[in-house]
Amino acid sequence: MLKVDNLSCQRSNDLVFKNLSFEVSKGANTEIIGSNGSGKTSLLKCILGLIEKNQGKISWKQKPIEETRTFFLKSCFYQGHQLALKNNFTVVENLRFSHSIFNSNEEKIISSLKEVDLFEYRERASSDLSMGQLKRLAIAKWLLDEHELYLIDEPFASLDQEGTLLVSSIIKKLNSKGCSFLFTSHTSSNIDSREILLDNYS
Amino acid sequence: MINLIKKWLISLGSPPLFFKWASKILPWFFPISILILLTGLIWGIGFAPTDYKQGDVYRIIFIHVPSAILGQSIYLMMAIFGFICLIWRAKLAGMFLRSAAPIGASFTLIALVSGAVWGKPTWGTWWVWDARLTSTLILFFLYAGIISLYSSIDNKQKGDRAASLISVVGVIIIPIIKKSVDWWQTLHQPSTFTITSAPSMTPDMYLPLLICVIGFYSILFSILLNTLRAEILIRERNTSWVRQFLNNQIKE
Amino acid sequence: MNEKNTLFNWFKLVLKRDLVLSFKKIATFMVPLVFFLIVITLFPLALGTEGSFLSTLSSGVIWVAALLASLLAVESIFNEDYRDGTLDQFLISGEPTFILVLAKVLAHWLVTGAPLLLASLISTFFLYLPEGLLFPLLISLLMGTFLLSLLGALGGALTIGKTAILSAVIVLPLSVPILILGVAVITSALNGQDFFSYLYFLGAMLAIGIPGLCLATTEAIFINYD
Repeated sequence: MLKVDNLSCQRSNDLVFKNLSFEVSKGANTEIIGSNGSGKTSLLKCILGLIEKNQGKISWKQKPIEETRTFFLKSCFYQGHQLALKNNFTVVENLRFSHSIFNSNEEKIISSLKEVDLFEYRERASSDLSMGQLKRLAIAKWLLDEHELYLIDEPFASLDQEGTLLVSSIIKKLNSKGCSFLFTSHTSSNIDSREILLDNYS
Repeated sequence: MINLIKKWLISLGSPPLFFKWASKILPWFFPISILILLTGLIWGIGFAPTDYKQGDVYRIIFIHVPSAILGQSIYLMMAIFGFICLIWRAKLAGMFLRSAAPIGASFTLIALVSGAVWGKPTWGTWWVWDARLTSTLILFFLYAGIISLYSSIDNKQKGDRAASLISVVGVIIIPIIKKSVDWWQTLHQPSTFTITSAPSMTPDMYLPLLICVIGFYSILFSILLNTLRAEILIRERNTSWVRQFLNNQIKE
Repeated sequence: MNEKNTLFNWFKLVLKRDLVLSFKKIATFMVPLVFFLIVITLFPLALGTEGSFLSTLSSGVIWVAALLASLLAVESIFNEDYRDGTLDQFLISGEPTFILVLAKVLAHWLVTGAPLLLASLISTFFLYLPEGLLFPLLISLLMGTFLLSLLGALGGALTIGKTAILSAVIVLPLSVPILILGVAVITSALNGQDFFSYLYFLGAMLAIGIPGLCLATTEAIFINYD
C-alpha cells in the first residue's frame, strides 16, 4: 500500500537517514526501531510531507505520493510526539475538535471514550488528566474514524502495563478491520509486526 | 545566444561556479572600485565648487546621496533575489539576501547619520520629521527586522526563505509606506522646516556626485562578492570542492 | 457544490475551535485588552492630565495602543497550536492551509480586535476625545485592527516557535501605513475635511491584504515546516 523506496532525508547539513526502503501492506504493522535521534520522527514527518525529502520515492497505492497527496492525507492518521490535545478543552471537546472529525458523531466519541476507559472523565478539563490518561485520550482519537494507515510516533511511551495492553488490543482490532500501522519505538514491542532497525543511516 | 545566456545564468546560480567566478573577478575589481570611489570623493570634497547658499557643508552630499540610493536599491535587490529564492529555491539567492541585508542596513544608517550631520548646520536640528527622512528610518527598521528574523532561525535555508518572504512583502508595502508618509506630512506638518531642495547643481558638482554613486555601487558589488564567497564556504563546508579548495589554500 | 461545502465547513470548524478555545482560556482576550487599557493609562501619567493637551493626543494614543496590543497578541494564532502538535494535524488534514489561515485571522480579530473596539470606547473618556470623532475613530479602528490581525498572522507564522516580540519587530515597520491612515481619518474629521477618502484607501488595503497577506502567511507556515 505504502511503499518507501531509497528515501534519504537531510536536516540542515546532517543526514538523518539514507537509502531507506520498505513497504507497508494492508492490515499489517511495521515497527521502526531506533535510538533517540536516529530519525524515527523525521521519517514519519517525511512521509507526511511535513519535512522535505532529499531523495527517493514514496508511493501510495502504486502512485507517487506527490500526485495523491490530498487523498493520501485523508486516508491516514498521524499522532506525533506532541499529542495535539488542548489543556483548556474538556476530554469530550478535545475529541470533538480534533481535525479528523468530519465523519464522526457523538456516539462514536462516547464509544471510543468507553473503549479507553475515560468515559467517567468526559467533562473534566484535560489539564486534570495524568500523562497516561492523556495518552489514552489521544488513543481514543484513533477510534473516531477508521483510517487506512496509522502513523504513530512512540505509541508505547509513558504507558503502564495496562495501557500497553490496551494499545496492543486496539491495534489488533484495527488490524482486523484492514488498517495498517507504521509506528516507532526504541525497543521491540510485543506486537506482531515487521521490524525495521533505523541506526547509523541504514 | 539565448542558450549562452541561460548557461551563464545557471552557472552563476551554482555556488562552486559562482565562487570561482567571484574569486577571479575580485582581485582586479576591488582596486578599481576603490579607485572610482576615491576619485569621486576627492573631486567632490576637494575640488568641486562651493555652494553659494550652504557653503562647504553641502559636500556631505557626496556621501549622503549615494548611501541613501544604495540603501533603497539594496532592498529592491533583496526583494528580487528573495522572489527567486522563494520560487526556484535557489540557494545562492538566499545567501545573497543574507549577505546583502547587513550591508543595506549599514548604508541606510550612513544615510541617516550623514543626513543628521548635514541637517544640524542647515536646519539647526539633527532630525526633522520630513517625509523622506521618515521613510528612510522605516527602511532601516525593515532591514533590522529582516536581520533579526533570519538570525533567529537556526536552519539556514529556512532563515533564507523566511527573510525572502518578508522582503518581498516589504517591497510591496514600501510604496504604500511612502505614500502614507507623504499624507501624514501634509496632515501634521505646518511647514516649520522645508527641506531646501538639493543645491542647484552645475556639471562640476553633479559629475563628481555621479562618480561617487558609481563608486559606491562598485564598492557594494565588491563587498557583496566577498561576503558571498565567505557565506558559500561556510554553507558548503561539508562538500568535497570546499575541502579541496581549502587544502590548496593551505598548501600555498 | 459539495467541494464548496466542505471548504466552508473546514473554515467553520477552525473558526469555531479557535473561538471556543479562547473562551475557555480567558487570558487570550483578557490580556490584550488589559494591556491596551494600561498603555492608555500610562500616557496621562507620563504627559500630565491637562484636558486640552490630552484631547489633541487622544486619537493617536488610542491608535498606538491598539497597534501594540494587537501585534503583541499573535501568540494565540499559530504558536500555541505549534507547540502542542495541533498545527501538524491541521497541515496534514489534507485541507487547504489558506482557508485555515483565513479562519485563524478572523478568530484572532474576533478575540483581540473586536474587544479593542469596546475598550477604545472606554478610553475615549480617559483621554477626552473631542466630540464627533467617535465614529471616525471606531470605523478606522474596525478596519485597521483587521489589517493588523492579518499582519500579525504573517509575523506569527514567520516566527513560529519564537517570541511575540520578534514578530512585532518584523511587522511593526510594515504597519506604519495602517497607523498613518487610521489617524489620518480622525485628523481630517477633526479638521472638518472629508475623511472617507482615507477610509476607502484602508478598504483597498483590506481588499488586497486579505488574499495577499493570507497567501504570504500560508507560505510562511510552509517555510517553517520543510
